[in-house]
Amino acid sequence: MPIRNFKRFVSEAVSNIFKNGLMSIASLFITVACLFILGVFLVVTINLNYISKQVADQCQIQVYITREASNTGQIQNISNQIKTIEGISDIEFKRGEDTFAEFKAGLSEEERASYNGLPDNVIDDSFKITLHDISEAGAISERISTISGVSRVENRQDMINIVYSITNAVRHVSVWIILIFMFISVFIISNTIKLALYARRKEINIMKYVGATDSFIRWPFMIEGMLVGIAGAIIAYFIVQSCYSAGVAALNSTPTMSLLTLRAFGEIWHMILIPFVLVGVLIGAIGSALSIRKYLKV
Amino acid sequence: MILFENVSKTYENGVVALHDVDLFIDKGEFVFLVGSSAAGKSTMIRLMMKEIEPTSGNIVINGVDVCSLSRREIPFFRRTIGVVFQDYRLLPNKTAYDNIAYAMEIVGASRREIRRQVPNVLSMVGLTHKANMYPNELSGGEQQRVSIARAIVNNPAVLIADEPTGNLDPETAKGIMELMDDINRRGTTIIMATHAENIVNTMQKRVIRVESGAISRDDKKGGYSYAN
Repeated sequence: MPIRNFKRFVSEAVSNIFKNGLMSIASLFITVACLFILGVFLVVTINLNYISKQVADQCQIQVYITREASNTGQIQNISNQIKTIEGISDIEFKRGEDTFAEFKAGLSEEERASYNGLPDNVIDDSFKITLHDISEAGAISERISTISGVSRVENRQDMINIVYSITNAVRHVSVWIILIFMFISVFIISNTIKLALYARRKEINIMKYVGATDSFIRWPFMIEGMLVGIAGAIIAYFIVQSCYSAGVAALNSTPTMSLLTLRAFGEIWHMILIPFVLVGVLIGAIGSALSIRKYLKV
Repeated sequence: MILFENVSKTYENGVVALHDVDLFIDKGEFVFLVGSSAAGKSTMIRLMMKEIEPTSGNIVINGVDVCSLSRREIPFFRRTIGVVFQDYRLLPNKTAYDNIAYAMEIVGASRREIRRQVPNVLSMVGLTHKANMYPNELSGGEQQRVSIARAIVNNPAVLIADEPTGNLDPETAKGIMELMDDINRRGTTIIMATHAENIVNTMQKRVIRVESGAISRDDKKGGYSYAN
């Protein structure tokens, strides 16, 4: 396409957007609505991934050792045995006194008072073990529990499994929903454009009579669609941004969210804006190209 | 140069629009196509524009075998023919000037060529002062002048006009016919389908009468209703 034509197509597209104002606005609204819903799923997926990663990071196995083993100096021996197990990324020894002190530090003044009578060594010494892959937590726990001197192994496998199955399910579902939604968007938008083009079919007909080639007619329409798509993407982006910020602020003030954090919009803005612009341009272009085909057959 | 050889056209609904038509129009001629509404005039024009295909026979225009043109070649073929319709068919979003310029943009004319040529044809059709008006701001006669200007701006060898005066009052129609005659005198072949008896009678040009899908009369210097 020569530069001269490109400039002409763009100015043609821009002037057509304004001359067919009502139809442009209709297409714009539908684009915004579709992208907004796409944005909701994007945001949910991004945060679910983030949360499951947090859960994975928090997943550690707690190995308590018997008091007898502690007193007879077998700590190093047990630690060495644990280290030979595959899949362990980090092991950290913690004295029972320290664990108890940490626990008490997390309590309020009154709650702490009720524990004051207890001796400092009420909790056994322990190892805190971090795994490479938390799905192996069950198997590794079992192996550790067979080591002599280990009194019990605690892992939060149940909770991990639940969180994992939920995030996996949502991730799969949202991929499908996003795909289905993009398909629906193209369909709705191409129909809206088809309506717009129906009003302009005479115009296209005239162009054909004067001897315009198909691509010469098609380009301004496609650029028009892409520009509406970009405008829709930008509007939808700002709507998602303000909704997201408000939503995160509301969620963070509830007690259940104190353990987990959601991503700040500043960290994820590009994960929203880039797909929005791409999808906006794509559905605008595809929608226009699909709907104009019929009218070019003169 | 326009040549029809044994051209027949039967529409899909079974209507026989043309039956075995032979016709030769030489370069530079001015020809009226007359006949009643369903006689086949429009079919002949649509065939010349390659809007439809003949069922059988050959059509050659300016040395191009129209029937063998591929879909991709049609736009380029149409640029060699100017066409004017009864309902003007101007682009409503464009000014008179831009409507004419559009026909030049299509063929890839440069900005300079456009700026030189469009005012030329505008002054030829007498609308220099209305260049920046939109079609809905122009009278019927003025719109038809713009559409004629658009048709001739790329200097086509052939100008086809389908009842160009059909929507115009006699006085305005007369002006349009003077313009057409002027264009013809510059060497453009003109084929004009019309019902306007008085126009045909005063112009004294070749008249081809089409009746139920066949040419019933072809007079070198004829009138609309031949004495019979």
